[in-house]
Amino acid sequence: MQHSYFCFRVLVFLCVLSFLNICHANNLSDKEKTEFFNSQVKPILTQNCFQCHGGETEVQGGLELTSREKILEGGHYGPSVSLENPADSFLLEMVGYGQETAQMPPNGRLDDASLEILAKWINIGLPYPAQDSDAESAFQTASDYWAYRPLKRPQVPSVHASDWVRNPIDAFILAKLEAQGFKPAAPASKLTLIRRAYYDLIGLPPSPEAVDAFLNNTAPDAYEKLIDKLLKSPRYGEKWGRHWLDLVRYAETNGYERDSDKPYVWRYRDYVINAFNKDKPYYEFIKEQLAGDELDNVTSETIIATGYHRLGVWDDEPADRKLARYDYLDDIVSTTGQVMLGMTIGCARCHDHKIDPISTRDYYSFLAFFHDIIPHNRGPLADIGTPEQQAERNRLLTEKRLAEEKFQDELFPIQENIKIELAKIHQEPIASDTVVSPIRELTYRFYRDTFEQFPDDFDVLEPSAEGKLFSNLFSLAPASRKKNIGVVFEGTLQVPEDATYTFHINLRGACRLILDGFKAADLIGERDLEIELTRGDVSIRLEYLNKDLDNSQLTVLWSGPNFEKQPLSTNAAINFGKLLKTHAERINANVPLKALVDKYNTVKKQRDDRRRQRVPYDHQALAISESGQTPTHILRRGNPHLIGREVKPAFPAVLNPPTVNMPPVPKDAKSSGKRRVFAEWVASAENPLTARVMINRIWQHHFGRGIVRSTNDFGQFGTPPTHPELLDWLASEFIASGWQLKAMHKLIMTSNAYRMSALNNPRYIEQDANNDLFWRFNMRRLAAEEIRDSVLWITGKLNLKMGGPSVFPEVPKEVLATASRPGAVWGKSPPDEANRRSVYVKVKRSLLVPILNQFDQANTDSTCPVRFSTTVPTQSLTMLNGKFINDQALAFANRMQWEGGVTNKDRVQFGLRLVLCREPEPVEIQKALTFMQELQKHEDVSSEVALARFALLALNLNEFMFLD
Amino acid sequence: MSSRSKIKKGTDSTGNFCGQTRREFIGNIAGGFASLALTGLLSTDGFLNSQAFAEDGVTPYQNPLAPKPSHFTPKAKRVIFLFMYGGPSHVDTFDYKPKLFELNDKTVQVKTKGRGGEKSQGRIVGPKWNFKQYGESGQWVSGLFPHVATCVDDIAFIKSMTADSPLHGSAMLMMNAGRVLSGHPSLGSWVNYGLGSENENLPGYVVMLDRTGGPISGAKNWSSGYMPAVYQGTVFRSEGTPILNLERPNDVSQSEQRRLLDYLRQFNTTHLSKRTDNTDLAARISSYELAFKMQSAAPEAVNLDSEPEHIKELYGLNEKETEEYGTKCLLARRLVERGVRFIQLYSGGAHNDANWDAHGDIERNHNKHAKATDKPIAGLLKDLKQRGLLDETLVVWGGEFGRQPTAEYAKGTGRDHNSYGFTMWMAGGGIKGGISVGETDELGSASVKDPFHVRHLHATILHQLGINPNQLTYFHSGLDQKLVGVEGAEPIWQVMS
Repeated sequence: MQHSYFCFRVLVFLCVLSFLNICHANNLSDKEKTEFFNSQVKPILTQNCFQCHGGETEVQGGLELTSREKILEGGHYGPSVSLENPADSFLLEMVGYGQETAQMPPNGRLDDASLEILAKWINIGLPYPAQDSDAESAFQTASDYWAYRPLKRPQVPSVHASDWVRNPIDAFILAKLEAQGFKPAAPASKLTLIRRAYYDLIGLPPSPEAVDAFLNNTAPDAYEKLIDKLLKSPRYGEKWGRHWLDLVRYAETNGYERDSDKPYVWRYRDYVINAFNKDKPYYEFIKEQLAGDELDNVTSETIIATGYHRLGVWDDEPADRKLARYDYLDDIVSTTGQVMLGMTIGCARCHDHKIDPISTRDYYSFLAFFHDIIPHNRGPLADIGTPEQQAERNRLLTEKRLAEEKFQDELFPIQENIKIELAKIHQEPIASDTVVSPIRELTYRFYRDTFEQFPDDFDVLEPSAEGKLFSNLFSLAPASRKKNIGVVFEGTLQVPEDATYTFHINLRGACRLILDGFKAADLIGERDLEIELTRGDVSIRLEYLNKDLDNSQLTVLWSGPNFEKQPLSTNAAINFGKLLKTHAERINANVPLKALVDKYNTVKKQRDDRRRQRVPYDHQALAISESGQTPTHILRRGNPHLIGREVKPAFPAVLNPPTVNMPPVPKDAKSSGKRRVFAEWVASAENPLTARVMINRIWQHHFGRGIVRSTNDFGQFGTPPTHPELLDWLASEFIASGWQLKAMHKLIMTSNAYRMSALNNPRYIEQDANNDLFWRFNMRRLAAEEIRDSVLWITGKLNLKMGGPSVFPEVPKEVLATASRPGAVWGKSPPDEANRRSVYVKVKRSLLVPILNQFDQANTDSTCPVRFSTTVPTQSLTMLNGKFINDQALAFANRMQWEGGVTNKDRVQFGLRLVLCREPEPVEIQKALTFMQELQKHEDVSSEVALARFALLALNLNEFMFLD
Repeated sequence: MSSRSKIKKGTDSTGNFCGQTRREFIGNIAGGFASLALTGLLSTDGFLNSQAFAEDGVTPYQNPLAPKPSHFTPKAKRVIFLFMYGGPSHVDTFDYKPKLFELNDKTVQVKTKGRGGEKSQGRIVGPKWNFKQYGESGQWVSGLFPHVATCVDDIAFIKSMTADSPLHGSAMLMMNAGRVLSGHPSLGSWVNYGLGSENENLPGYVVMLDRTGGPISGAKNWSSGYMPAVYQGTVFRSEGTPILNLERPNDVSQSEQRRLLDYLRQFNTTHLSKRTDNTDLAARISSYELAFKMQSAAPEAVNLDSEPEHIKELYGLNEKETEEYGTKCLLARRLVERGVRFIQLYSGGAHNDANWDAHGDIERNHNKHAKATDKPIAGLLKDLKQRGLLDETLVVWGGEFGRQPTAEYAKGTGRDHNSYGFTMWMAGGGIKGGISVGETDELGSASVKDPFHVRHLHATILHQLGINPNQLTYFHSGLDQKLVGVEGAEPIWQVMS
């Protein structure tokens, strides 16, 4: 069945070959041939052939494709290529699936484009430049790759239409345009420009007043002033912080079965927003995230920043824990590689990168910087409180503990009394674990003190609690705390005969045993005491003391002439709840006992209530912590069970990096300092990628695409820059400006390139449909957050409160029903909280807010460099029928009614100004009025409802949803 | 379609719209808009070719909903995946192990791994249902599935399935998206990405959940992962309005909404007139018309009034226990008839015994869930067959793993999870009926003969749909990603007719 297109394919294939024979005349230079092989042929061989014919593993069919000689030599079936008659080459026959019995690769025929490349390769004489075996040359080629070259500020090109050049950006753009005979598009109108600037910088539309003010301001620097104003707005951090959150896979739950919360992770979100608002230099920004706990000046802010490492998915119940550990580290390595360096280093986890010069050695050397990070579940929350806040917390904790202990002191004697009373009315032992003790009438007194020394006379001290012990065995159960306590036991020991008895004592702490009024011993540790006693009742007193020891322990046994060791102490506790249950009938029938049990229950409830009262302490952060120094090994095929050579932390070799010099780890250090070394290399001006990658992202969010379109991949699988010199110039400027973003926004936005209109040019679009040259501005649809926030802003409902725990806008119950715990999956926020900006909406991995999800919010399971922009009918359904949009339409209609004026004409005009950020045309107002009139006339709706329908219509306009 | 995808487009964008110039065509949109064929036309001509770029920043994408040609002539056009969430026990259903009856309550040495960790011995729980051979092919089926038993000559059992994880969270992701790691597109997303949707008025990938709730990880199970959200599954409800926001608000009539849409179109067309090159704008205009049509198409699809009584009876709609799953199965048939490409029906939801996760009492649990699904599933197979639809509809049955031959606890009949060996079955869509492939050992604890991984199952499903599983790729994070993993997987050739 897989050969059903067989005839067709052969036909296509023959056509390809004949086409190529024509090309045969082309004479390529050696350099071109090398380039052709490296860029076109080698990827095909690597992806399809080398697994069996690459020489590393067992070679199949005797054929190795690793050099020109070996290919010409061929395998078991003879030479695989005929240079005399290329079309007769056996290799082409195989890959073309020309025969039923000889088809390679086995898992499917290559596509025609690949076949064409292989045929061309043979036609031009099978060039096969020296490969990886010659690491030195490969390395040199790679180092010369545009993204890995050291950054140098390029010359600003000269152009003909120099009057269009407002700043050097324009010169770079214009030079390319002129080379193609293009002219830049006309400048955008001031109206277009203000809306564009608002959305690009703060993600919200300008108010009609702001539009008027800008239109009326004829000063030459009106536009610059506008940009300055927007850059100062706190809304800027909310908009640009969101771009960063996309990159770092920000979400507030762990994913998988339980999808549990990441506590306090919102502090990281607030950190990011603040960092953008404060214009924190980018190098500091990334250093804090990578190693905020290892810097010279560690603050709560830098600690919060390290939450970066803990944002990813995490499976609390993985099938293979070792693998899961490396998956977790891979998430950090891959994210860091792509986000900060534009390197898809994660591809080298199982094998050397298919095309970029990144080896598995590079991968694991990179991973080594992060290897000591504590697993997510064991990574504790960091305390970021001030000393005062911490002291206050400790005070409250102590207060709580004391209160609980007080109840416990009250509870214990009641409990013992109940047992004693119960035993009286019950003939048999009341519980199976009741032990018969040789002691009678044993009482205890419990002292709570730090005790300077062992008190000579406990009796003069005031006990915290006292009572009888039902078991008649020494027990530390009456002590309601473990440390700094004293317990005095008194009772009567029944001695069976005159003899010498041995008391076996073992304890943590100190004790004093007094028999028959005489002190037997002061003891610590383990001791056996021999004491002569006379038959009959002998008073026994034991004083126990714990000073500053974390745990209390006391074991006492005795043995005599006719019996082996018998316990005089117990650690066991009768299950009291079970006891009450077992004897419930008996208790209910006995009034005093019942009263005791009631008392017990009352006190117990008081204690439990107090215990449940949590001491609130919000000064915590989800941050990084390290433990140990784990050696890192290369894992063969990425398999954690196939351990290879050990590697030390090192930067990817192709970047020609400095050697890693790891400073010695101070004795009391909480971490190894490796991440700081890594962070300092990433955040240095010498790193060829960091500044290029980041400035490209800034460009991306102004122009709709990066100069390098694949903003997370500057490698050879990515797209090359359309304007490499501009990219390098901007990166140099970025570094020169102190890595500060706001200056770069202003630089970019004040260029004429940014100020072009988005209008079409039929001739240009034919030649450059993708706008590679930037001959005009790219239109874009608003992002999910911009749509939701703008709707709320237009209706006057947007709550601009910043920061803090995330909010829960209403989610339809149909969506909640998709969760495995429909009732427990989503919270509820009061309406004004629910109406906060989308960046503050809870990001739950297993449950997405429909309007944000449908308009392509970022996928949070891995880094998201570019949002999708899809158009599907379910979006329209949401925008027509959804509860959110209809609620907002009503609110919008109300606003038009109250603020828009008295006539519908005024109201419509008011509404359209809000939605479109411009003065509506009379014909548009008229159309709206006609619509409302028609509704009233034909659909029998009130004028209020008609206005609400118009409000809904307005919020669905393409002009609202798209940006010119 | 991604330019890096190995599927070739049917027609390349030529910029020529059925002999009209772009301008004329736009004029036509503005004039008589409500053309049924419009979107089809737009898609096949590449008109919806968007300015937007896919996540890699490289790939321009077209109307993602447009039908796309397969790699080769498909055997199946559509898939119904009957997902038995929680993990049905293979040794109590279709994988007959006489030895287990003999060894009931005996402790034996056997390697198992489940939520209770790895064990090397355990107490055998003999199956509580008798097995019999059915059909001309003599396939073994337990007393749990008397109705499905009558269909075995159309079914191919794969009795040597294996998966990477014996724990729900990761195992669900594996069965649905091929990986134990979160973030990858689900099978239905891959199918819609590869083939598009045949019916523009209905979603191409429909998921119906259990009344008790979704499976664990919720929407992750039908997520499109790193692909655009358009490929994610749409949750379809069998009661009330099938799709979220499909229903107009109570106080809005159809004609009122029609009027709103007409005026909206007027505004949007004026806006478009100065931006005719921006195909996103035109696409958005047409999406409102599609949405409007969906509002009648989807309720029609789920309206069972026109189904005759004997059909409802066939699916078990008249019995309390089978009514829920029967309704889903009947809806699945109706959706299949209307060209929905991939449908997943969950049996079981939420946690514990609300699904097939029989840790405590296998008898009570499996009696309940088998009873609820047996007649509906048999009804679906028979109904598809009598309508001639079974040939082109691939039906897949199974859970995220199977269960152990031994007891989970010292007492009781509950079984822990088992991903070393379990059974799935397929029917229709070019599958050879009346066969079993692969075997587990005599206890059913692990696959020993011809083991097949979840990747092979996925490869088989894609293959039957005419897609080469090793050539369906999506470029993400520096890699040509595949549903069947980097190393690829062969389909299970033995089950093909």
